[in-house]
Amino acid sequence: MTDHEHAATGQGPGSGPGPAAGGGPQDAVPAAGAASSPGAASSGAVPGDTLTAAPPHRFRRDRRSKVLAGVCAGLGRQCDMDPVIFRITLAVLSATGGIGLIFYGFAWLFVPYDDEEENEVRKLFTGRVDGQALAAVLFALVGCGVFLSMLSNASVLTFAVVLSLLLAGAGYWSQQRGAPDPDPLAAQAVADAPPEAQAPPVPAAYPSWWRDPIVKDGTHVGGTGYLWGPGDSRTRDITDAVHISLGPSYPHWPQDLRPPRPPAPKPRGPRWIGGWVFLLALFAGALGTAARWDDQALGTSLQMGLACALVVFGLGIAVSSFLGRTGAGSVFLAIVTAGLLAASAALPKDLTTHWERLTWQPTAVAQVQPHYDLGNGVGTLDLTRLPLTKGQTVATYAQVGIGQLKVIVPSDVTVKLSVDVGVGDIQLPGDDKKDVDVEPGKHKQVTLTPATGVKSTGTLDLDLRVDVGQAEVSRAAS
Amino acid sequence: MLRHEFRPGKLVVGLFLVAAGVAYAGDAGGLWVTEWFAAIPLVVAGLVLAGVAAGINGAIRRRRRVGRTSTADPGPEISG
Repeated sequence: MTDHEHAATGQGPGSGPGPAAGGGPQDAVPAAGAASSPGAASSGAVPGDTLTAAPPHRFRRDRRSKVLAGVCAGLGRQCDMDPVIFRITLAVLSATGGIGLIFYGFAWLFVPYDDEEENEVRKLFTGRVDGQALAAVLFALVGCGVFLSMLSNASVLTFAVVLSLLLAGAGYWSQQRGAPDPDPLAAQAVADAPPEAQAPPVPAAYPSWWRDPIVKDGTHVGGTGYLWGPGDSRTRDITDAVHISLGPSYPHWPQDLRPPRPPAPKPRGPRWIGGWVFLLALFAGALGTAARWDDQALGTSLQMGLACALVVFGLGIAVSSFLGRTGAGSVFLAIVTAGLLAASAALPKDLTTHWERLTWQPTAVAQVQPHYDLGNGVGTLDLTRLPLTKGQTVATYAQVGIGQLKVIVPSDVTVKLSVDVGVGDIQLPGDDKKDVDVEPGKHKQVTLTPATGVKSTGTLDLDLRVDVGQAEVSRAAS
Repeated sequence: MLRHEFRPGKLVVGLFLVAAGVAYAGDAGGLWVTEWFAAIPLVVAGLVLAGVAAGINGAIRRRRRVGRTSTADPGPEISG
């Protein structure tokens, strides 16, 4: 909690590394000027802003306990956790997939220090390039490179994603740990001890080597620290500097520099029940899906679960018209559920919840059914034992919803083939097994003659249909 | 801390969502047949009617509040 107190009491911009801590308000101006950091100094912000720049709920990089750029220290302070946890986890995430490097680099770029107003990107784009910003860009670039190189490695990426989710969850839990019951002693200390007033920093030097103020006839040309923007940001601070140099006797300055008290917590209205409604809807959805899982088609099972979830959402929203509150989030979730419900109702009914493996193996011409059908799975139509006499023609139709349809034909028959694949691939005898070419709306109509030297005995008239998946026709080895 | 003033918009949209859910649940349970697109008109109608109800509710509240303040304002002056 000490870090929070530090943040809440709002150490001024000059106080971090600088010697201004011991100085009174009278000599604070030159002290802060000597220690001025480039970002806070030239931003031209009003002093009250910088004093309240680090309330405890905003994620800022921590300069005091930093190792590299203070991202992990800031995360630790934000989540009230040991920063070492973040350091180790981010190092592991950097090694496995580069997500750690990407996150660290972008946080370095976009999150300012707790005592500064500007992040590194803004400094970069306003012409103040320094090693910090370049290192942050390098981190992000290397992280992206590692991430791209690991993109094909699904297990590593899964591990990285799971680890990041765990870390985020732990951080969130730790942050919310003591939320409803803040430490009364700490709150008392914060309320009783207003921070010592600090002078706003006065810009004195500019770090960019090509932005050195040009001195002609003893006057500065330019020198706001920016390549463009308002040119009078230095002169605007003069009134503030006058106020401070006048000291406590000047009637305005204490009010100007005292940080505003944190606003009193609002009186709580009726409690939010959106979270409970969502949990109940999840539960009802799982129950409904499970109840219809074993004996029904996939679409029906999903439809039952989603309908249960939608009923719970509707009841929750209706109840919240007089008891408790639900917001637009619940209505949005309910609409999404309704959309998924419509989609599940539109699913073909022959899709089952199980992946089936069926083999049809007719051994006589009379056994060949005119129609073979499978919802989802692998269907094999084995016609190798079909005794076909010369000139005989057998016609059949086979269909698979999602999955694979394998047809094995004898080596000595002519096959008249008509294949339709909604989305997927068609494999014919002689095709390369590894040549899988997935396309929507495939149709092929071919006649396969037996290999030269083999006498054709009969004709098979096959009509194959696969909605999503692969249709494969192969010849049995003779 | 749960009870609060009545919000008719929430009630309307909630009831329409329940109707959509029941329609599909009956279809999945085999009691009747529901077309797959039935959710679209139900949800859209529910949202539109909820908007209308919430608008009417807000207008009535505003008018009532205006009426109360206009009749209540002279009161203290007379008494005080």
